[in-house]
Amino acid sequence: MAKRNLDFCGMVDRNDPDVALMLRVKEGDLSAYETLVEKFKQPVMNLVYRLINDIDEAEDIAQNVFVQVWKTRERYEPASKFTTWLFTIARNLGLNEIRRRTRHPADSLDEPRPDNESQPLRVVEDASSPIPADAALSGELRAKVEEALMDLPEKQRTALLLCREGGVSYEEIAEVLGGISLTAVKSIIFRGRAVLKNRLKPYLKSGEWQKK
Amino acid sequence: MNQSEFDNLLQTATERDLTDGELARLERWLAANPGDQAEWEALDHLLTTLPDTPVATNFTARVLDEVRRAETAHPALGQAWWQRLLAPQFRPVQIAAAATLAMMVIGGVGYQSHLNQSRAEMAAAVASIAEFTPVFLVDFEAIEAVAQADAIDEELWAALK
Repeated sequence: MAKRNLDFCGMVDRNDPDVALMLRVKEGDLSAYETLVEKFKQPVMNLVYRLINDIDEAEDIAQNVFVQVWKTRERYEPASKFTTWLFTIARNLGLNEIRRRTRHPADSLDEPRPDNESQPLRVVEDASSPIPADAALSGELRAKVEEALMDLPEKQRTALLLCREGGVSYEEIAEVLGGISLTAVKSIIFRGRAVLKNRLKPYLKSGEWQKK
Repeated sequence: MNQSEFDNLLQTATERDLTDGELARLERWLAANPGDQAEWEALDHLLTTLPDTPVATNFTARVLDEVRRAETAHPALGQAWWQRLLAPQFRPVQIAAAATLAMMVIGGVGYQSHLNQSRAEMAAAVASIAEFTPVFLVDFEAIEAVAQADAIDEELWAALK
């Protein structure tokens, strides 16, 4: 089990059917493209939203991620796993938005949401993405985990979020994070977990919560 | 490694990146200590049970609309630049380019024809002059030899005088 935790975030499927779909997209096949969008809109939204912490902007950026996939489809090389390429685009666009907000702070209209109840109304209800009914977390604990996650440095957050999606290997995370070493990835993930643990432990023990 | 060292290493991890050796020690420790391992997995579980971010029902449709719009504005972005120039929206450019090319071809042909005509006229003129000049050209080589002779040896010239 330790191997799973420290070496892999999930299984890596080397015979990736997404590569075949993407090769069709490369040839201009719009139906293959639609299949990819349907399949990956959720993980991309999860990543982008938790990168920038703004649901409205996250949706625009997530859509732009897929538009970029179409526009740059000719550059896709089957040597890279499709998700590596996709998450790299998603992270880059997310980082662009973070930089833009740093330069123009007034543009950040939405404050970080403290819990799930305060989501902007604009989000269209989607039957495919309800809060999991079997989630063991209470709304309050979930909000604390979200908050602790949002307070992590971007690389630690992105690495943990990619782990969360499953099927993303450390090698892929290294690529998405800009071609860093495997040791660096392990260290980043371990640091992220350690910080989360330190932050959440007092809350889980005594309900005590420290704002960052 | 003991529990205290493990805890210290966890604390260290919150402050800086761990080295290869430290990560290896942590892996060994977790593999040998199910209690710490379970705590670690509980943390992973917390993350995996976070709810998915809501996605609009028309997300895919909006993406496809955007792609189609982009394709209409800039059709066949996947094609080479010269193929894109053949698109209908570049019709005025295509017409201007074709007209320029036609003018260049016509100009080139005309200039070549002019050169050919000049050469023919020059050849005819030379031929007509040649009919009258054989007498004048008899001593041509001797005159050329004198013109290209070495400079006069001044001392020898003085002695001969």
